[in-house]
Amino acid sequence: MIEWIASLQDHALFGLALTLAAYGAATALWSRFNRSGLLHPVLVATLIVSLVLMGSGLDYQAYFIQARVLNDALALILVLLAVPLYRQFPRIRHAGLPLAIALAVGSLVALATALTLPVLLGASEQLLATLAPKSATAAIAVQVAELLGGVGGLAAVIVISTGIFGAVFGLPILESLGVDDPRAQGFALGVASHAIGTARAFQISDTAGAFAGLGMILNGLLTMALVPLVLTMLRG
Amino acid sequence: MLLLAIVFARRRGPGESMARLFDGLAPHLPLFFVPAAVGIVASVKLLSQAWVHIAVAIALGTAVTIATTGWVAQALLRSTMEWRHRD
Repeated sequence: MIEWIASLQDHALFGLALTLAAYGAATALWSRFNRSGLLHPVLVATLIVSLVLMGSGLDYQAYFIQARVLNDALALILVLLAVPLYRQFPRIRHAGLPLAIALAVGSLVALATALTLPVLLGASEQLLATLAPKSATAAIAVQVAELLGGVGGLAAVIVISTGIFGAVFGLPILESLGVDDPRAQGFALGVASHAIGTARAFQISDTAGAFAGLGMILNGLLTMALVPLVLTMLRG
Repeated sequence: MLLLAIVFARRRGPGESMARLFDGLAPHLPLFFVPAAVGIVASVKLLSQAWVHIAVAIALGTAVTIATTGWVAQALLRSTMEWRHRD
């Protein structure tokens, strides 16, 4: 059995097949348990793939190359988020000022909560630069982190964990606070948990998803401007 | 994404094929994050050095960010709506 897997794992499509199978199993499990947050497909599928990689000894780099087509498709899909954004444009236009204020508050809170403890405990500038862009989408966060002397790979991991955390716990947190407007729910998920939060918001409704996509892109842009400014102030 | 939305606005709508491609893919958006997310396993060593800071930032930071953003957005969206109704 182990030899059989070992001979399979060198196949160029092993990573892709493994990911698809793990995702299929994860979604089946998720539907079976009433779409419970803790069983979010990204979480379960990641766990399955990780266990298979550890069991078979295939290293992450080799797996990533085999499953790369999925990661590349992500860029295309993020651009396609323009479709719901366009559909929701009439509703978004009337919400301009409330969303701008919520974005500014959310972006600053994301930065403050990520940096307060490390700054108080005198963490390295490298760690600060790695943590600061955590709520931005991965492509932006990695660039900002590396530009400011952080570790890009670790920044990507932190960004994805932030996304999964938001996708799993975001909606229960919002509902416990009485935030039941799908526009506010979606926008908060997009600002705090970027594309993974946006994927979760699309499972609420198209409206929530469109506002999440908007929150994600706006917070990405604001993060690019805000993080270098705040880190320079902290150094000075 | 923002550029494409502007193009749509000028052309009065996304093309049929692009809209259909999006509607087909949207429910399976989580699938495309799995390869990058598995990277968590590859950075266990880096994580172990500063895990307290990282865990606090991810859990507490994200919870507080979602709560404040959602709360502010809803409060402001509602108050502007009421203001419009009164008008």
